[in-house]
Amino acid sequence: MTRDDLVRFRAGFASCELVLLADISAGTVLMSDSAIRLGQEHLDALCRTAARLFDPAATLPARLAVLSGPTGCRVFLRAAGDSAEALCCLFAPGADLTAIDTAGLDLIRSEDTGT
Amino acid sequence: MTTAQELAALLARAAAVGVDRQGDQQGLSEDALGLALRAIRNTILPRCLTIQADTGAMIKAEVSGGTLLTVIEVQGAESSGLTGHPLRATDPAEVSAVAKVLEELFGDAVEASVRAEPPNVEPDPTQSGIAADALMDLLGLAPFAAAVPDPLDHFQEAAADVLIAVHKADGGETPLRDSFRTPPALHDAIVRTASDPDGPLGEIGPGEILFLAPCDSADLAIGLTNDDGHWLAMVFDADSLPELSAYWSGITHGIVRLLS
Repeated sequence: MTRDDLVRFRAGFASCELVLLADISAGTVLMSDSAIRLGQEHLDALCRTAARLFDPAATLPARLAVLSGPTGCRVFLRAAGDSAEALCCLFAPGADLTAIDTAGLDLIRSEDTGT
Repeated sequence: MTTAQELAALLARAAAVGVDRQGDQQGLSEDALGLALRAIRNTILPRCLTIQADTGAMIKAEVSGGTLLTVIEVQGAESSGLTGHPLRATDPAEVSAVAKVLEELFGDAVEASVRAEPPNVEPDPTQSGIAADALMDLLGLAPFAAAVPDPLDHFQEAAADVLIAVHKADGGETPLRDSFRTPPALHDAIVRTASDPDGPLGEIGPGEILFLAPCDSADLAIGLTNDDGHWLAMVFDADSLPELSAYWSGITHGIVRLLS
């Protein structure tokens, strides 16, 4: 996966303000694309949230998590239960998230397979 | 314990109930107009709504996420130019025209009924439509924030089609579908997750719901809220997760008073 893949992915969703790929086991943001330039601390905060939501020791392991509220939706996906990488996206309030599951999985699985 | 077959049958019944919902309401003319707008506002998943007044006036429209997407048919008001194409919130003249049609249809009505059916086509995700809130504002009706004192109650009511059970920290499980019980393993996982002070509950901010698609359950999803340590978990049909999460952020965005 390249940064251009993230740019194209974000362009495919109206109201998607940010997308980033993170290595949640290392706590590292690998690459990102956003509508406005965000400070590293904001990207790191998303990475930490992803790590907490996809904790390997979680009693309720999830493949998709969405924190939805008055400022919009923070969407977190990972390709498999034991994957170290997660996709994090920020959407404006009320944004259509219908295709995010499938499109996000396609993107992050392309990273896993190197395509 | 609910088996996979029982769950599939349960979800199918729930979906059937959801797409054939019909309610007859009686009240003042403003109530009929308010009923029509609330029906639009409370429609989360894509539906074709038919709203009919006792006067014979009727509107049939495609609605999703509290937004009027396309007017299909109107009886009892002049609607030329409004039917059969995607509506745009960015066109003030079109928004005003739709508001005027609704006022004309339901302004003199005493009774109204609402029927919801599956949409003819899946909505186009790029289509903005006209939000019910914008129409209510234009028509001088009480805004959502003033009319709904408890957004979470409203959300659960609006999501009744796909909501299957509710778990609370101090109240156990409240099933919302006949004969359904959350599988014990999932119930235990929900309770342990919600009760863990270092768990994902700590990520939920003011006014937020954490929606989770569990790895071990393809049919069910969870919505978690945290009100100062008092958690609530909603179990619902996994397919509706995108619409529910978008709807919640949309309605809470316009509210000053947030869950805390």
